[in-house]
Amino acid sequence: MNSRIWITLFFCVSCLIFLGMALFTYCYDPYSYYRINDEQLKVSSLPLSNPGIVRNADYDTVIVGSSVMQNFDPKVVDEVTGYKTVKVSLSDLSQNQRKVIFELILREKKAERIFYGLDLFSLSPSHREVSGSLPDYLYNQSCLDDIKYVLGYENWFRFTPVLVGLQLASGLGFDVPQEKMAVSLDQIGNWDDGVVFSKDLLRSQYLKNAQSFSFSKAVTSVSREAMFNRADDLLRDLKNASTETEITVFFPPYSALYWNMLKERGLYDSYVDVKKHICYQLQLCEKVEVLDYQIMPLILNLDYYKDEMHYSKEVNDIMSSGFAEKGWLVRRNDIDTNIDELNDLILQFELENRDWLRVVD
Amino acid sequence: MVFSSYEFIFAFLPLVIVGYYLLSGLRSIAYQHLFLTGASLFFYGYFNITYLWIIIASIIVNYSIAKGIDYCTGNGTRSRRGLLVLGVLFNVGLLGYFKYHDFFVENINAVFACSFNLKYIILPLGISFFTFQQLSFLISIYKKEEKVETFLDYSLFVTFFPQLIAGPIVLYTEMIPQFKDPKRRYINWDNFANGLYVFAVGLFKKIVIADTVALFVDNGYGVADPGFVTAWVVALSYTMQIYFDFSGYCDMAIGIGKMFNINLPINFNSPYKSQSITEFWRRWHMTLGRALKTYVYIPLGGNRRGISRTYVNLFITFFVSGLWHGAAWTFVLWGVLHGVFIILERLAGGLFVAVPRYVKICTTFLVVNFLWVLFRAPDLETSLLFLKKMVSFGELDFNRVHLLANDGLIGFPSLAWNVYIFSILIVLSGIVFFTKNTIEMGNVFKPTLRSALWISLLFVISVVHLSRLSVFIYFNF
Repeated sequence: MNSRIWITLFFCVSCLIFLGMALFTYCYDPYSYYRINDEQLKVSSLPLSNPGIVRNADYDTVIVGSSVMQNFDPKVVDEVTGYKTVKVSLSDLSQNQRKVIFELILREKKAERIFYGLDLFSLSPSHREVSGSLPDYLYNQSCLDDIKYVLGYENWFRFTPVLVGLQLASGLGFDVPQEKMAVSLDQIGNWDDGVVFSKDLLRSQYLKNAQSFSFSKAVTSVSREAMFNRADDLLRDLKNASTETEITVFFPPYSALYWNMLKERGLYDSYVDVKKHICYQLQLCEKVEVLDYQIMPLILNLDYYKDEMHYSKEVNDIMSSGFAEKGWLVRRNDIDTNIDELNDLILQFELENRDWLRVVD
Repeated sequence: MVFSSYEFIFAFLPLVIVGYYLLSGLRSIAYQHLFLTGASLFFYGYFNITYLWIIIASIIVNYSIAKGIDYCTGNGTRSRRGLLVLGVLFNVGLLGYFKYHDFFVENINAVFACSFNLKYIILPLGISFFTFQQLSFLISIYKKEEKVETFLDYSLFVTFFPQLIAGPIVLYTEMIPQFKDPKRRYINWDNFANGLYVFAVGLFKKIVIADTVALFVDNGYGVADPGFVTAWVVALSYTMQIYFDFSGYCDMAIGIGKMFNINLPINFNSPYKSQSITEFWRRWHMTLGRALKTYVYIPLGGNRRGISRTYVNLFITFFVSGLWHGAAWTFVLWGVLHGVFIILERLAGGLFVAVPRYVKICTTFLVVNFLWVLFRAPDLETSLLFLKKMVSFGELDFNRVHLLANDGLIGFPSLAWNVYIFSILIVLSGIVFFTKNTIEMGNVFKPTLRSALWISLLFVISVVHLSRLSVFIYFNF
């Protein structure tokens, strides 16, 4: 064979393989990026599956948030509200990631309303460093970037072999770990299966080593000014987004232990101040509402929690009712009262648990 | 721009190749050189356009000095030497400012308890390479070994994009005749096929192999208390990573060069098959070794001034090598220890002649592997921790090994990850010890159906891995 034919053969064979792989991905579509196939196992990685959900699912309402929002059951939300809901969550959601997700949702123009669960720690500058970025090629509008999906590493060397393997194994009658590979869109990201929610567990964890608590990884220090700057950036985004869709910002009900730990680290006042600032500013926006679940009395009951932040699905269901009833709706006059209520709850918690808490005011 | 990117593989390289050979239809070769120089500057500036002025300024200044030296040929040596000193100061100053400023300031602050501000300068790509190259050119002109060609030819010599950012470090004398050779203007399909073959293998080495083990290394240096097995896995992974990364890059450079009918010098010759550290340096980053020998070791006197002076010269040469690799004491220590091992080998003389070959290869590999820990660790403290763990035979546990493969995508059982990690390391060891290297493979390359299918497959796998982001290790030097 002469070199010219060899080169031609090289290019033709490479192109054929590329084409075959791209075609396979387009048909099999493990990220549900082109269409949603209800019967197919789906990639359980939220950064990869979220764009497909936003692009292809049938919805009018989106719940956006971090891991504390991942156990929301959109069906429960639909039942109590009458909406058609999907959730778009990411563990440890940073503000940069939130920005990208909001842009994607608004670009699709399907969402009539967005429920956004705001973790105040995501406003801390130290949070940016620990949060990973998103695969841009799935979130931007460039069709050319689809090459990174149809011929992408994660797809071809991670998820497709595993999904195909699991489906084959399942077809052959083997017992495959279905919970690892979500079949339904609503299940993607759920983490509550087999997780223990218990006060005893929390207490022993706390006593053993407070550093192992999850929030401490994200927030070690805070600059008040930087937090306010980030909050203002968020407020700008929310105001802009509210011109196209209704927005409900809600504060997730972390346990009273979380607030106690913030106090212990001297961060509590900054957090509360920035929360007040956000609440006051959002009162000025016509199509933005605020729900404050952080004053729910259940935050005193650590049996709802697996750590100081993450609560059980029962709490998500209660919150879903809150979406419909607007039970924790914050009005201008409520802002200071809510902070007082939160202070009272924390005080009550500290008094009830003074035998094992390190810091009790 | 990096070789292992969609932009380079699917846009820049094909366009430059097509453009270059289309221009071969014009009468003057200068058009091709102008096009290639422009493309190379675009390639350089694509990464960070703000540093384009540095390389342009460096070319202009060095060329002017070279012209000056050439002009003064008949006017005695004083002015020629003065110009050479000026050139050396300029190049060393440029490198010193961009690469070593903060290192020196940090050390001055530490020693004299001062608090001079650091500049946190981002290192311009390939500055060590193109500065070294131009310095060698000035010395050659001073020694009257070369003639100063046109500014365009000189610019192409410095900027020729396959070797611009991470070498091989080329000499004026081996490049200019090739650029000026009229036969090389036109496409040569045999060279092109060979270049494509070498490029595809290099791409696979870098993007598939090196970047896969890079994950083990990056995760490994994040493990707080690594333990014996984890420390060894991390060290071996880096030993593999740096070889496949850098030699993969050089293979790509050589392959691209061949596509333009330009032969770049070989930079790696199966270095882990070396039977001594001395041999290792004849097989590892060969063009740097050549440059250090020519411009540091020999000017210091080489081995012509007695045994003890030879050892001092070797020590200084490897000190410079360490410092060239990076502005940190870990690099200096790495270089110096290599020098010490070479001196020890010379002291031992023929003592180990009877030792079986494979024992010598294994021993050399272990020494190199230990020393790479210094090279990779973020600081001296971490490197000492890892080195200590590598000899802590009591901590023989596999508990943390699986953490090294965690890419945050899919969670597999620990045992599966362990099998995956060890399998990769075993296969890679097999490759580095028992198989031909890319250049040897390229030398016996024949355009057959089998090789076309094989290379297509490697290429496709590599392209699929492109979406996994990475940078070349030697871009930092």
